[in-house]
Amino acid sequence: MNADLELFCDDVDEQLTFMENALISMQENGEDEESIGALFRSMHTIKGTAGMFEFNAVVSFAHTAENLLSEVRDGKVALTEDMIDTFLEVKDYVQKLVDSAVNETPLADADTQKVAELMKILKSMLSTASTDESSAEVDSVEELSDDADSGEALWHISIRLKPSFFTSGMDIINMLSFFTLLGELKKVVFIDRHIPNIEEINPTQAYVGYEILFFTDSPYVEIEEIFEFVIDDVELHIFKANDEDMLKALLENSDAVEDLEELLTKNAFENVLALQEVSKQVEEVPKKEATIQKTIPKKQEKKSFSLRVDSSKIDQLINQISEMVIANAKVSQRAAVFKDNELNEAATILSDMLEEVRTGVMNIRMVQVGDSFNKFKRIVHDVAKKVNKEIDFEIIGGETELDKMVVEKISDPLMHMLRNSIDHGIEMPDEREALGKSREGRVTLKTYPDAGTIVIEISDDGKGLPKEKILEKAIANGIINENHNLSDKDIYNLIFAAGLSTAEEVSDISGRGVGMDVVKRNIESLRGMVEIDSRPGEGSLFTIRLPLTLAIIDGFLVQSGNTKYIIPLEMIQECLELDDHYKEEMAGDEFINLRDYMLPLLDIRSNFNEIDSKSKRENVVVVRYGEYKMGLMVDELFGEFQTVIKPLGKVFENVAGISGGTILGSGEIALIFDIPKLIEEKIKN
Amino acid sequence: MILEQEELNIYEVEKLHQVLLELFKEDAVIIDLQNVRKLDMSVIQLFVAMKKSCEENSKKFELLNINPEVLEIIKNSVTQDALGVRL
Repeated sequence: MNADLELFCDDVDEQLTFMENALISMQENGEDEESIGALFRSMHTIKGTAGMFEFNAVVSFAHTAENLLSEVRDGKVALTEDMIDTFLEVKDYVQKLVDSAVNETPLADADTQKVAELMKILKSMLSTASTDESSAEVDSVEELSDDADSGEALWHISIRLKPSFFTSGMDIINMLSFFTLLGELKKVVFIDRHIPNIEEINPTQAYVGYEILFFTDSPYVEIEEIFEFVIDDVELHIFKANDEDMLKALLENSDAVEDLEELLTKNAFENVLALQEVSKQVEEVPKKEATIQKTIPKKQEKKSFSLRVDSSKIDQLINQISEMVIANAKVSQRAAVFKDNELNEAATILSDMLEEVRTGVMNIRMVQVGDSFNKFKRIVHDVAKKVNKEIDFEIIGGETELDKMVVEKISDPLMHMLRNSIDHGIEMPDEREALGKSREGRVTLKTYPDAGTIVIEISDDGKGLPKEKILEKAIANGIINENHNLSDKDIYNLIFAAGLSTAEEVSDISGRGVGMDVVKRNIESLRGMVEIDSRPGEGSLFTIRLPLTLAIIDGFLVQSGNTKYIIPLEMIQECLELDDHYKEEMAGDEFINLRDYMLPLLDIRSNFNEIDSKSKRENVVVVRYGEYKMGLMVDELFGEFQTVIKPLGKVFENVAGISGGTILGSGEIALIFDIPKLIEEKIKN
Repeated sequence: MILEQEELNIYEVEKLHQVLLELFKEDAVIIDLQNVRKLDMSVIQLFVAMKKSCEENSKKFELLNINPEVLEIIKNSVTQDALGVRL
C-alpha cells in the first residue's frame, strides 16, 4: 500500500472512531450540538478524502449520510434512537467500503445490498424524503455504481491565480469555456482588485481571480478536472453553493482588499444573500446568539497541536535510551573502581537526566485508556440488543494511562470478557425483576493504577459463575479429577482452561469455549495476570493486572549466592534484616511474624539452587502483588537500578519466576524476578 | 496609439508594458485595437492596470476599434466592466 493510501486509511479509522464516540455519547446523554458537529465533520472529511482517491462508492455512501447529518445539524430533522443505530451501521459499512476500495476487492453481495438498503433508509429519514420508494431505490443503485454527486446542483467555485500562473502556459479564459461544456455558468465575477497600477505591475505575474456560481449535474471531481493542469498555480475552492460552512470560511478568509462579501452581495450571489439572511435571523434571537458565542471558545479550547508519529520510531528511541542506560551503568561502575569522584558525579547527573528522558519518551507511548475503551460501549450496546437484555454499562477511570501497545493488545481479551458478562452473566430483564433486581443489568469496566501495575476490573451484577457446572465439565474433560481439593476461587479460574465452555447453547456471541484460555494467554504475554471472583446471584468480578510499561523498569538490585537479581521496585514494600530474633521465631518454618502479619518467605538461594552465601547477613525484601504479600530471602541488597528488560532466549523461557534479564554496568547479567509467578508458586506449595 | 500585433500574449506583455508606460506620460490614453485579433489574460490585466492608473490620475482611458474576436474574448472572460468596454 502506498504512503498516501496508508494515511487515508489511518484518517478514516480516526474519523470513524470520532463518529462512533459521538454517537455513543448522544445515545447516553441525548442529542448535543457538539457531537452532531463532530459527526458531520467526520463524514464530510471521509467523503472529501475518498473523493481524492476517486473511491466513488465511499463518496456516494458518505455523501448520503452527510446530507442527513446536515439536516440534523440544521434542526430540520430530529435525531432519533433509530437514526443513531442507523449511523452506527453506516459507520461499519463505510469501513467495509473503504477496505474494499483500498484492497481493490469487490464488496460481498450481501454487503452491497446492505449498503443500498442503508442508503434508502438514510434518504427516507431526510425531511425532503421521497415517498416513491422505487425511485429512491433506483437512485441509490445508480449512485453506488456511479458517483455521489450525481444529480444537479449549484456549485460555488472560487479561483485565484497564483503569481506564477502564466508560466503554466495555460489561459484562464479558455478554461472558463470548459465550464459551459459541463453545465451553465449562472454568475461569474472577475476579481481585479489585486491588480496594481501600470507603474507597479509586474506584467508576467498573475493578479486576478474569479468567483463563479455553476449549475451542473457533473460531480465534484469532474469540475476539479478542469484545473487538472494548473492545480499548483491556482488557489481553488469548489463547494456546493448551499454549504454554509465552506461559504463562511471563504468569506472569512478573504482579504480586506477584495471585500468578497460586499462584492458577491453586489453581484447577487444567491448563497451569500441566503447566508446573510440566516445570520440576520440569528442576531434577532439573542438566546441563539448566546449559544453561538458559547460554542466558539469551546471549539478553540479543543484545538491542540498533535503529531502523528510512526510507533516504530518511538520504539527505536526507547531501545537507544535502553542502551544508553546500560552504557551509563558501566561508566558509574568504572568511576567507582577508579575512585574518581568527579567522574562519579558526572555519571550520576547523566543517570538522572537519562531517567528524565526515559520517562518523557515512555510518556509519549502512554495513552488514556478511555479513548480506546469507549468503543466497548458500542459492543455492549450491540450485544445487549442482540440478546434482548438491558444493560447499564459504565467505564470508570478512563483517564488512567497505559502503554499504547498494551492498550491495543488488551482490547480483544476485554471485548471477549465483556461479551461473556452480558451473554452469560446478566439475566434476562424479566428474570431479574422476579429476583428483585432492577431490569437493567449493570456492567462496569474500571481501571486504576496500583503498586506499579494497572488494574482493570470487569464486574457485573448478574447471576455469578455456575460453580457446579464448571466442576462437572472440568471433571468430564479430565482437567481435574473427582477428588479435587480446590477452593471456590480455583474452581472459577478453571474457566481459563482450554476447551471449557459451560454455555448450554453456543451463541455467536460467546460460549464457544475457545475464548477464555486465549484471553488468559494474551494477558500473560503482556506480563499480566487475570483472576476471577464470583458470588452466586450477586455477580462476577474479573481482575486483570498489567505492568505499566514493557521496556524499562525501575528495579532493585539484590544478590543471592553468586547471582544478582532485580526486583521491580514498585512491588517492594519494605526491606528488613533477618536477624536472630526472626530466625528463632521461624524455627525452621518459612514464615515470619511481621507486625502481626504472617508473612510467607521464599528462600531464593534454595529455590534457585544457589551456592551458600558468603555474606553473614540475610535480608528479606517484602513484595506485594495485588492482595498477596511475600518476603524474598536474599543475601545482599544493592539498591535502586534502572533496568532494561532483555529477553532471555528460548532455553530460559520456561524458568518459573524469572521474566527476563538485564546487563549491569560491569557487564554481568542480572535476572529479573517475575514476582506474580513466584507468589503463585509459593501459594501452590 | 495603434497596436500593430495581431496577437498579444504573455510573450509580448513585457514589451507592451514598456510601451504603455511611455503612453501613460500623455494626457489621455487611447489604445487602438484595430489590428488585434487575439489577447490573453496577462494582456487584459495590463490594460486594467493602465485603466486604474488613468483613473487615479484623472486621465481618459479608452480601448478603440475592438474587433469582434477580441470582444468575444472580453465577454468570455467577463472583463468588460474592468476594462470599461461596452459589449
